[in-house]
Order: sequence, then structure tokens, then C-alpha cells
Amino acid sequence: MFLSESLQKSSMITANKLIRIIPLLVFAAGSFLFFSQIDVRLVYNQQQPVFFKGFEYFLGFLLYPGGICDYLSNYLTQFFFYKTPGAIVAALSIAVTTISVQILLSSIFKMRLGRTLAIVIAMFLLLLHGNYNYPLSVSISFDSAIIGAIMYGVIRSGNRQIRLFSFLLLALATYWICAGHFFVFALTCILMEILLRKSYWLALLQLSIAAAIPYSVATFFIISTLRNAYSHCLPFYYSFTPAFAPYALYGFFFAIIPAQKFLDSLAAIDRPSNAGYSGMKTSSAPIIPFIAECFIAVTAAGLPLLISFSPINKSCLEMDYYAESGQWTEVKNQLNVVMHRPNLQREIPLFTNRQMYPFYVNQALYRSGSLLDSMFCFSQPQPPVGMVVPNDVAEHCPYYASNLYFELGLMNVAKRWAYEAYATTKTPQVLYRLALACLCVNERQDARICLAMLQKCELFQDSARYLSHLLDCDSSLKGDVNLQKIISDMPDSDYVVHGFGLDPNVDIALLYRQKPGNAMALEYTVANFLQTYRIDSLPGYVQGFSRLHYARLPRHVQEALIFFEAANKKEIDLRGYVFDERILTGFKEFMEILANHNASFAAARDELRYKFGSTYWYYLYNAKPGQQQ
Amino acid sequence: MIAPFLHIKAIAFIVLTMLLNVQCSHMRFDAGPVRHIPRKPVISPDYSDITIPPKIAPLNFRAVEKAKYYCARMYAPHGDTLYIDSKTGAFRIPPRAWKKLLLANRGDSLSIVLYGKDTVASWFQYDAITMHVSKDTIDRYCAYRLIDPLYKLWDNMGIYQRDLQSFEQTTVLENATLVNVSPEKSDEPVSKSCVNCHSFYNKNSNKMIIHTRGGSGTGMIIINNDSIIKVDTKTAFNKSPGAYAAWHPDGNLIALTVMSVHQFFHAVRRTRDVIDTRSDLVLYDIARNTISTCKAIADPAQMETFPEWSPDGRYLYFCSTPMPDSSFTIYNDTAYATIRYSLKRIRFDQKTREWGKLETVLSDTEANHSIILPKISPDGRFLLFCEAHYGNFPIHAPESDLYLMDLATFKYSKLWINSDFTESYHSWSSNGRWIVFSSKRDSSTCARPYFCHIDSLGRVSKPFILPQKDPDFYSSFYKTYNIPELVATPIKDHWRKLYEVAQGKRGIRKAVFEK
Repeated sequence: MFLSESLQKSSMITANKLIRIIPLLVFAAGSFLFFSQIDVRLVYNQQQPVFFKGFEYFLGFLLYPGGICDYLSNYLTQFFFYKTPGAIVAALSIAVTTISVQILLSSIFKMRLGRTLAIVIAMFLLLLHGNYNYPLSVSISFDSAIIGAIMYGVIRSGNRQIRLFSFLLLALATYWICAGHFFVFALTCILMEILLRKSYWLALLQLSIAAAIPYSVATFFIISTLRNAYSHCLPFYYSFTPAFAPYALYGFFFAIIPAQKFLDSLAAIDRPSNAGYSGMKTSSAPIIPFIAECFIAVTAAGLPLLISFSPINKSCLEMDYYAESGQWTEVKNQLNVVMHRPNLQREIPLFTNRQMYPFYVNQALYRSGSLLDSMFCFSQPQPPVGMVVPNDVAEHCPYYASNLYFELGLMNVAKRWAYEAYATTKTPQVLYRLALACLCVNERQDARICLAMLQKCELFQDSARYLSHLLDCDSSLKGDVNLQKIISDMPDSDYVVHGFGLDPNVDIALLYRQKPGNAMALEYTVANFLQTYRIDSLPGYVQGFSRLHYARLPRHVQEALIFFEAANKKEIDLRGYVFDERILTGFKEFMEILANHNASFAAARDELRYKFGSTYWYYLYNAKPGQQQ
Repeated sequence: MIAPFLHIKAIAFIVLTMLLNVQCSHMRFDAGPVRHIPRKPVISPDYSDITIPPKIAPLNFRAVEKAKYYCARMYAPHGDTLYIDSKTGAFRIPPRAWKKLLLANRGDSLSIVLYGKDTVASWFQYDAITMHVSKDTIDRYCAYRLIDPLYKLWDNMGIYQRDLQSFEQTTVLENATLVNVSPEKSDEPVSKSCVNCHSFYNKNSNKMIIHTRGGSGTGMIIINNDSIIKVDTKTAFNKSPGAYAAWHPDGNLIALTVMSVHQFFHAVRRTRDVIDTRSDLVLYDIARNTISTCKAIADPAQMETFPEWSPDGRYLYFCSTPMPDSSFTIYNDTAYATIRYSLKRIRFDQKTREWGKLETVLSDTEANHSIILPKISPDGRFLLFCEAHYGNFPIHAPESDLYLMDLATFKYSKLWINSDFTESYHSWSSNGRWIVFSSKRDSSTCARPYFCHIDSLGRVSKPFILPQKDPDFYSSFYKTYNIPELVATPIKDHWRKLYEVAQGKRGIRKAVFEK
């Protein structure tokens, strides 16, 4: 009888423990879904974290406050390269936050709703993660600060000197580990002294120490600005949706502790020693608070998706991601998502995206073989900006610019932009691009240095092996068809590449002049002529299509040539090509509509847009006055 | 009772093992016959047949030969022989023993014999690699700027000093905290200063200048013992700040180049290029905080650059070329390739501050090249300079080579130490017996500092690269060593003040143009 009662009690305790975990599991699962939805690969693409194996790399992070969290963050963010493992790592970091805050609130501050409040606090962290620039180091350093505070909390000594000494040691360690978040540790310790131990003088002393440590470190030990010394690893320098998210996190955290204590003192409730679910006795049925807590957990995981997550932002970042990784079919798919949105340019939140969108469009179209057939189905950049990224824009996305020029075969320019990217972010992708570009121009020593660095990147071993193979074995290099095509497309004789403020499309035209077999150079040059209304230059390029065995002239080229013939009343030598009947008929209809409106394009605009919005003729007529040459 | 006994046993075991290990390391290649391979082994970096200073950090190296196990024997006429084992082929020489060996053998040769053990467990050895230990000392420090292979964008960079007797590198000034004052939002780029063109007075680190551009503000930082000031050298005469600098021996005047630099890019071969579209020389007077110039060194029809004082201060050497006409553009064929500098000098009277007659020391037509970066040896006997096909930026010119001119006869010749790649910036040691120069022979993008001995007749020894603790250091180090300068004394540890001045917290003195 006694045994069965004891077993029953034991199973109830186990069940109760399990039940306690369930809201946390629900929240963890919700966090995982949150990170899956925001797609951590885009975070990786935005932040381009670098992590090299080896002590030398680690040593660099030991030398400044917050470096250890930065190091950990760089390591863990590597997993963001993959969608699901990345989401698991990010969700685990949130779970660590939840558990550590729960321990702090429930065990140290003896708060009755510790777990629920911990979930709410973790929710604020999730909100911050909605910003793709938000580094994981902020969450890690927050966790470290909380763990430091827990360690201080477990020191039960009544001796104030021992507590002060412990605080000093922990404060120094915490500051070096998590920099600015050291204040979370310090203020929590101070709250412990005030609320739990009633040691006001000690709290004041701790406050002074907390204020002095970053100042002393920045003044006497390291080279840093005071602002950095106090705020590194804090999230205040990032823009969030909603903007108050970081303030809400700290505000809530530091408000609930005294508030709860105040309420407790009013109610004069002592927490029962055998407290079970949320402070209730283990024998009582915990079903209602359990459901409530699960509901809070679901809400806490879901709310950030509603508040801080922007689908259009994600779409744009996806375009960045796909464009930089050369997944042009995906870029095209993404285009179909975003192109139907009105006010797209205004909606796109990031500068790079706004500037890059047209270039992605055109490259995706080129990749799918439909650049000159359907580029005017999409909004094109305002002339004189052409097909390639102007230098001032490329400075914001040097890696993308490098990729574009690499494909074009302008290897020196590709190398230049890869070096620009390397100067700002030494990512494995940049190293790989640099190594390949150096290999193409036969600068093997440089390629080997890049390869040696790439070999220190754990996740890029396959790329490093492939590169090593190319470097060591000439026959492999010659057997790489894509690389050989690019090498054969490279210019032979030198010319000065057009610099800042000048039109880089000229360089493509010069390249084409040297390499008429370079199809990308041909299409980009012709596309640039079309974009900039220079259709009088087009007849000279018809031969180029013939030389490259195009089955027919691309649609926009035909449209432009038909217009040119009509305008100049002379026939062009089409080198055996003929105009499509459908396009000829379309042109007639276009002109008829125009004539029906007394040749006023403004009057005919709506009708023409409806029927011919994706044609070159519409683009030509729709140009702003003065733009047409 | 058993525990202490176990401890004694363990300690005895460890000691015995250590002893055995030491014995083995000496015995391994002595045991059995050793096959001789009649050639020198390939080692990286290449330290064979070089002349080294008597106090240089250990020349750690890697054997680029296949073997299962390696051993190196280092010996010289005096001192103990060193034995170093390696499983990987990387040899790290014990610093103390190395130092002892070098000091005992000043003026003698040091040999390294490399042994290898092949797969059938038999030993083989190569011919000895020899290096000469010079009696001439080298300045203890080398200051340089470490930068990424920069084009236009940059992030972190800094000026560092390296103790040549050890592997210690200390920071002089880094740009991490020299940021612009605009609001720091993570979404916006934070612009960091470019720190550059460090120049020392008389190889003395207590008197030096460093330039900063952008970020926390453009200016010239003058360190004069404990006084550190930042000067804005832009005046009514020169819209651009001073750059390339040369200290007059009086320690108060600094000759500076003020110029408009233009970077451009090539489609084939050399990626980047730099030319000046205008440049002049000015004199900055530290005591009076004035900038002055004269027509001879700031001729509107000429571009003058790279000033260098003779050690007695009576001549200012510099490079000069006619100013391109107003229609000049770099996109116009290869007009830029016609810009070639001649080497000129002008007499200067320090007391009256009067300039003498301008002389052409070596014209570009005579040299058939552009003459750049003149540097005179401390005894005034030799002038080391670069020659390139055109322009004044040898670091980007793969064909740039070092030449030495005897100032007693004005005869000059190309140094044999040049490689097929860029040889560029160079600096003399204070005793004039060593030079350090930038070379891109190991990477066509990143320059590395090479040292070589030069005797009283101007004969140079085979150059060697700055030694590093890790023999493989350069194989994965992708930064360029910019402007290596030999300095006799360490740069003072007054970084807090230096940073505050660089950040502009202590104000900027505005130089005044003195007509």
C-alpha cells in the first residue's frame, strides 16, 4: 500500500516535471519555426561571418571585451549557412536564454512566474532576430551576463566582503566575455543586493565598480573608444521593427524583478517549499496554468513573426542570396513574387536591394537565355545606368560585382571587386572567388594563399579541395569547361577600365570588340544600347548573333530594328535573319493605336501599356523627354 | 602507502622518457649509413647563401622535400651544434641557442644540413645550406604598415613595429578607433581613417610623422619626443594635404609632396595603376607651423614628388616630370605611359633658406624609364632608387626594379637582387650596411619586406624575407607590408596620447602658407 502510494507520488512528480518542460519545448519549437520562417541563410548572407580554424584566429578575439562572444557567435553563425541546422542553432540559443532567465527569476529571485516571464523576455530577443543584421553575439552575450548573475546569486555568504570580492571577479570576467551586456549582470547583482539581501551600500559600491570597469579598461588597457567600451555587444546600434524592441527587452527585464517583489510583499505570500507547477502544490491539478503557459509560449514565438518580420524584406534578401550564390532560376522565381507589387522601389527597404534589383533581373534573364527577349517586361533602371553595376553602387556589393565581371570574363575587374570585398569582409566565398580569379590570370601564388585561408574554413572544405585540385593539376584546369570558357572570353590586349562616375558598359563593349565569341558581352552590350535608346548602333551587332549561331534575332532586338527601319525608311542587312510575323503585326498595331490618339503617346499610354507594356517600343516611347537620343 | 611510491615511479618514467627522447633526437640520423643527395634542399623561405645580421630572429623554415621524418643540423666554426627534429618538415629554431650561435660566429659562416628519413627508414642528407653572419649590425626595429591588398575600400589597417631580434610585433597606430563622427548605425558604413606614410627623422623613432586620412580626420601627426600634435597641412597653396615626406637633417623642416592622386584600372595584366595629375613639393617648418615653397620645387609646368635630403642637408633630391597638358586623360590611348620622372636635385642653404640651381641628376630619357623613390645612404655615398616603365607608383608596377647610383661618380646600375616581380619601397639602416625593400616576388599582390646586406663598395648580398615564428606564415598571410622602414629605437609607448591626437581630440593645428 505504502509502495503503491509512493510510486503514485513519484510518478506524479515526474509528470509534473515533464509538464513544466512542455511550455519550454513549445516555445523552443516555436522559435525553431520562427527561424525557419525568417530563413537564417539570409542572415548568413547579410552578415557574412568569417570563422577560421586555428588558435591565431581565436587569439584575436581574446584581446578585447566581448571578443569571446563574438568568436562564439562567428562559430555558431556558420551553421546559418544551412537553413535547418542554422534554425536549430538559433532556436537553441533562445532556449538557453529562456532557461537561464528562468533559473535566475525562479531560483535566485524566487519569483512565482519565473518560467512565463523568461519566455516573454526571450520573445523580445526573438523580436530582435527579425532584423537580419542582428548578430548572434548579442544574444550570446546576454546569456553570458545572465549566467554570470546566476553564479553571483548562488553565493549565499552573509559576509559582504566576500560578496564584494566575488562580484569584482565575476564583473571582470563577465565584462571581458560579454562587454556591454556586463551591465545586465551588474544591475541584476545590484537588484539582488537591494531586494534580497538589503545591502544598499554594497549595491552602491557595485554600481560604482560597474561604471568604472569599462572606463578603466578603455583608458588604461585597450585601444577603444569609450562608447565602444560601454556598448559593444549591445543591440542599440541596429534598426529594429519595432524600433523600441531592444529597450523593451531591458526595460521589461529590469522592471519585472522589483515589480514582482513589490507585489509579493504586498500580498505577503511566501512561496511554498513543495511548489509544483508555477508555485502550486504538486497534488493540485495544473491544467489551467499549464494551458495558459503553453498559450503564452505559442504567442511569444508567433508574435515576433507578426511584428518584426517583413515578407518583402525577406523576398529582397532572398534575391540577394540567390543572386550572390548564382541561383538564377530562383532569382527569376523571386522576381515573379515581387514584380507584381505596386511601389516596389519604395517597399524595398535596403539600399543595396533597391540599387541591385534591376541588375539581378537582367542577370537572371541572361542566365535563363531570355535577356533580349523579355528584359523590358521588367522595370529597367533609369539611363544612363546600364547593365553592369556602376562603381558607386558596386562599392556596396563588391562581391556581386566581382561575380558579374567574372562571368563576363573581365577578370582584372572581377579581381578588383573581389579585393574590395576582401578588404571589408573576408568571407570564404570571397576567398574562393579571389582564388579562381587569380588562377584565371595565372597568379598562382596568390591563388595558393587564398586556398590556404579557405582551408581554414570548416564548411568550405569541398571548395578548397576542388581549388587545390585545379591548382595542382593543369589537366584538371583544362578539363574544367566553364573555367576554360571564361578564360577564353578574357580580353587579350589592355585598355583602361572606366572608373568612378563613368559608364562601365563601355568596358563590356570594348571586351566584345576583342572577343566576339563572348556571348554575354554581346548580349550585355546590345541590352545596354537598347536601354540607352542607341538603336542606331544595333545594326552593326546583327552579325554578332549570326556568328554565335543564334537561331533567331531576340525579340527586343527585332522590335528595335523594325522601329529603326520604319524611322529611317531603309532596310537593314539582317544576315539571313527575318523578322517574326507576330512582331511585325504587333508593330503595325502599336503604330495604329498611336495614330488613333493623334500620335500622342501620353493619350495612348494606358492602351499601349495594356497591349504592349512589355515591348521595346513602349519602353522607347515611355522614356522621359530628353532621354531619347 | 602505495600512492607516494606510484608518484615516484611516474616521475622516474617521465624523466627517463625525456632523456631517451633527447638521446634519440641526437642519435636518429647517426644510426646507420646516410645516403647523400648532391644538391641543396629546397627550403621555404629561401635562406640559402644569404648574409644575415648577427642579431636576427631565428630563421625558421620548412623543408620542401619529401621525407617521413626530418632533422636539421646547424653548425658553425664556433659554438655548439644545434639539432632540430621535425615530423612535418617545419623547423622552429630555439631562439637562445640561435642567438648564441650567431654571436659566436660574427664574420663566419653558418651551415645547415638537412637530413630526411624515407619510407624504407633509411636516412639521407642534402648538401649544406650556408649563410654568412655579417659583422655589421642592423637596426633593431622595422616599422611598416600592414594593409589588405587595397584598391579603394579598406577596413582595418595599422602601423606596426617589428623587433628584428625576436618575433614580437607591436602596434604603433591602428585605425580601428579612428572613425568618423557621423552616427554609428550598423546599417551605415563606419568610415575608418587610412593611416599611412610614416617617416622617421634620422632613423629615430622619437621624432616621426604619420599621416591619417578620412575617418577621424585628415592630418599629419608629428611625434617629437613627448609632444604629439596633429597638423592640417592643407593651405591656400595646396588643396591636398602633404604626403611623401623627407626630414631635413636639422630636424625642423620636412619636405612634403602635395599632389592629386588618380587610381585607375587595367583590363589586362597589372590590375591597378596610379598616376599623379599634379604634384608639388613644399617645406613644412615645425617650429613656425608654416608651409613654404618656391618655383624650383613647385613649378606649375612640372610635377615634383618623392623628396629626399642629402645627409648634409645641402641638397634636396626629388623626381620631376612635365605636367601633362589640359587635354590629358587616362582613357586616351596610353598617354599615361608617357609620364616618366627624372631625378633632380637642388641646392638648399639652411641658414638663409635660399634655393640654388636645379640640376638633373638622371633624366628619364637617359634611363629610358621613370625614376622614382630616391633614398640616399646615411653616409651620402649611394642613392637607391626604383625604375619603372612609367609613372611614380612602383608598388603597382611589376617591372619596377631597384637601382643603385654612386653619388661620387653618378654612375648607376641595376641591382642583381631584383626579381621578375615588383621591387619597390626601400630604406637604409642607420649604419648604411643594410637595406630593406618591398618585393612582390612571393605574391603578385602582396609586398613582403626583404633585407639584404650592402658593403662599402655597393655590393649587395642575396636578400631574405622578414623571418617569422611560423615557417608557413607567408603561405596564408594575405596582407601587404607597406613602407618598411628600419628604425634604431622602438617607437615610444605613448599610444593613449597618440590615439587621442589621431582622433582629433587634442585639436588640429592648421598650417599657414608662407609666401
